[in-house]
Amino acid sequence: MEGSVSIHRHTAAPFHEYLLQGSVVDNSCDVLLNRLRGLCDNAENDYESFHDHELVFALRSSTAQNNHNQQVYFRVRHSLKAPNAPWHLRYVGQAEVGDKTRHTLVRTYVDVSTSDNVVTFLNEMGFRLDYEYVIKGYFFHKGRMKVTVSKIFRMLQPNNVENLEPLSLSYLVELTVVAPAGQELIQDDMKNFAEQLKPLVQLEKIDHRRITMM
Amino acid sequence: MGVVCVFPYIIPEGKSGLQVVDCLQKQVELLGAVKAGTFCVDCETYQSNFSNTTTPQRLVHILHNSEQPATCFAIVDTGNCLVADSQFDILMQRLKGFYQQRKGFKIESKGQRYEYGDFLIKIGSVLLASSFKGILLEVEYYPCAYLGDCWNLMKELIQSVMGNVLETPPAFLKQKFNSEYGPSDTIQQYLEHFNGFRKAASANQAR
Amino acid sequence: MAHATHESLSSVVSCPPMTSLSRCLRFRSSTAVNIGLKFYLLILSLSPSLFLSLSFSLSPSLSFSLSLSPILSLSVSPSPSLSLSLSPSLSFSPSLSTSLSLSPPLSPSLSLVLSLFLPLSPLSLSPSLPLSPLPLSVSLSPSLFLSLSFSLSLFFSLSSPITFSLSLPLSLSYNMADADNLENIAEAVKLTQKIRASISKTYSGLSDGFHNSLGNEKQCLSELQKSLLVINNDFNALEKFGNLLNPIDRSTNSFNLSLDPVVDKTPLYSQLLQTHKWTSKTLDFSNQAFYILSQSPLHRSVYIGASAKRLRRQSPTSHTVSANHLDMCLTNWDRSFADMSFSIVRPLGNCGVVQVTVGRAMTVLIILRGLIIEWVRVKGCTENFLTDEGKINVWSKSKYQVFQMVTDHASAAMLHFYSPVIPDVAVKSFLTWLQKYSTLFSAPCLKCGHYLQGGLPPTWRDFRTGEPYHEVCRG
Repeated sequence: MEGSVSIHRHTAAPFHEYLLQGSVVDNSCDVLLNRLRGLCDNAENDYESFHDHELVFALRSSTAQNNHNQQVYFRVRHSLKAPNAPWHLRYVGQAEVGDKTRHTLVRTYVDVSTSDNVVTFLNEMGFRLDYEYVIKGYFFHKGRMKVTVSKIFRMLQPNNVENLEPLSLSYLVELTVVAPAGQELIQDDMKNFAEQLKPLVQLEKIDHRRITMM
Repeated sequence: MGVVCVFPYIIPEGKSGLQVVDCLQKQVELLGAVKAGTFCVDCETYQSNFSNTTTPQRLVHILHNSEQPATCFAIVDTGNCLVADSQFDILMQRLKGFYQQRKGFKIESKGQRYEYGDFLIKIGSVLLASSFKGILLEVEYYPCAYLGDCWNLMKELIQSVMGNVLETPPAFLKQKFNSEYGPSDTIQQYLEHFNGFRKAASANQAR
Repeated sequence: MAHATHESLSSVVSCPPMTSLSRCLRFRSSTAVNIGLKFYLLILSLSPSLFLSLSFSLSPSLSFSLSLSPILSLSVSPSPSLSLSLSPSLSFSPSLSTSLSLSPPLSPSLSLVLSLFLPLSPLSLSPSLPLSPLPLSVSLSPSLFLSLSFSLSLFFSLSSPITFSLSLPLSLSYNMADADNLENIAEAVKLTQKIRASISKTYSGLSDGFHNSLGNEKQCLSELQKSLLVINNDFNALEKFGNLLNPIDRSTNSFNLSLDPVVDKTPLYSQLLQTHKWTSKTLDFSNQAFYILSQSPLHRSVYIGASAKRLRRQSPTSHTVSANHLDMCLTNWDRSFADMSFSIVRPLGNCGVVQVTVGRAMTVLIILRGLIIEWVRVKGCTENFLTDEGKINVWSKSKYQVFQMVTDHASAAMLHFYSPVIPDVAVKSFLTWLQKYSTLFSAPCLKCGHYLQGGLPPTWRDFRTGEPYHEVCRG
């Protein structure tokens, strides 16, 4: 990332995540996977799967100055398939909605790889576990674009990744690109790619606030 | 990654820091070491400002070491050390509402690196808010990963260069004698010393 | 052209003895012919002697040829019904050889004209004139023969205007240019010379000035014009002759002589030379190296020439130990050496690559051939023996001086503990020695008492006692 060993690293350019989401019913998942395999890179290899456990921590405080509840969410993700891989600590900002010229959701995105004592660290910093889930699925990539077809499972007991229950009967399809801020043209590429998947799955930008309000 | 021992060098009365650093450098070069660039270890502290009194004040120290340029170390005052990407700094910025950077607490140790066989010797001058506070020496022995095995080796080297400075290993290292050594241990040693320097400085200021 | 005439007309041909002749004959049968043939056979057998015949030629060039026929004889049958002429003509004259057969008129004449042309007769004409109102059959043989040509033709003429002539051209000859052609060529050459002469005359005249005299430019120009006209005329004549010339027959192999050979683009020969030189040099060097190395007392291989008796008794098998045996040995060693862990990989067949960790200090890679240690490499615990792709990498050295030094010591130990007769004892003693290195960083040197000497800990472990010494302190 940075070429020089500089101390002031927080001045690095923030990354943005461009996102399109959709869903497919379980039965149609195979067809979609096949199509994605043809469209994306590395068509000759088998599907690459992932099996992750994600925890979402929240830090809430009411500061005397602002007089209302502020909260920030950090997401911790680690792979259940590769236990030696580093853990990921991610922050995703609020998506800017309302801009009709934008085809995708855009939000700030910070991803940090960490050692495996992240959970205790966050707890000590004051974060509290909000919720957690297990996500299993396949991922594809085409150039910079990453497509994941995944199923979310609810954990019936905390800290037990074996006891799972699927959250719905469908798969969540997400098309994401992580790029430095300011690269708006990537959204057109994403839209074109989404067009190619059109009859199988409708990828569009979804306003999350409307869902949370429901 | 080998075993690292960080220890302060007491400046004798009457001499300036620069003179002592020069003198040490000459001694090391006399031993046969070869200059190999510079190094820098720095530390910033963030303080939590939770208004509710149930959660106590927390201090988070963010350290960087030029030996591991892509890493950022985060230590909470309970001792837990997180080793993360250098993007962790950006994450700390996101927590602006909760953790504020303490001004005037930025401390760093900068200086020359010397390589001698399988050893790495660093002579660093400690700067707290750009004012010289002391000298921190670091000696690393690469081939071994267990402190218990090579403590005597290192002591011999240090004493041959600097005289009788370390008779007993520092308290922190005593715990680490029989476990495998890692970069976070180095950083914690540095933090200990930095805290010592900060305390001394604030004590001086109080006077 | 020549072949065509050959085929359509009869020619004078000679052939081998009668029997084959009859076989060669193919004709439209008619009784007359058969009779004639039989008679012919009868007649010929009567006169097998040498025969000398004169023959007249009715050719445009009007030359005589003398023909000699050692084999067959000519018999002219007095019978009015038959006339048979067999004249193998070996004419030595280059011009013609013909044979004439006459037969009385008013009779069906059967004339069998066979002759052998050997010489270079440009034109041979063998008319056989039955001297009858029957149509004349003329045979024109090809102009130039350089080889034997057999052409068998049978004139069969009854009282019918139809004349058959069948001939079996068994021509084995090829034709060069006609006499005309030769003459044309000669003429063309002469003309070319003429042109060259006139051109050089023109040039010399130009350089001299054409009787250079001032004010005489018109004269000069007229002279020049005349010489140029001469050149033009000569050139036209040459062109005419050139058109008359026959092109060279490309169907024969001689044409290929005019083609340029392709320049040899592949430097095969030079490459072969280089390879040969290189291989002979390599052979030289390896012979010398072998000689020098064989004089060292540390060699471990058994020579075929050395002590045939010993070989007969016991040939060394320690390098061909089976994989199972090796695994068993490994488990034994694992048990007996508590702080050393063993693991084996076999990336390339029978040679085992054993990775040993000695306490917390170092990891050692040993390559075994059967039960003989071939190669030792020592690296630190923090380093690994893998390449980027994850394969075993035995060649890269350790990053640290300590382990490079220990590798050297281990190689020396490997040679010291070598024993082809009792290989497992050898390996075990090597491993015992190796175990002493678990105190690599924590033991002071026995001689000087220090931990460090020149930045290095005591890297030497005595072979017998296992005591630690610095590299510089031992001995």
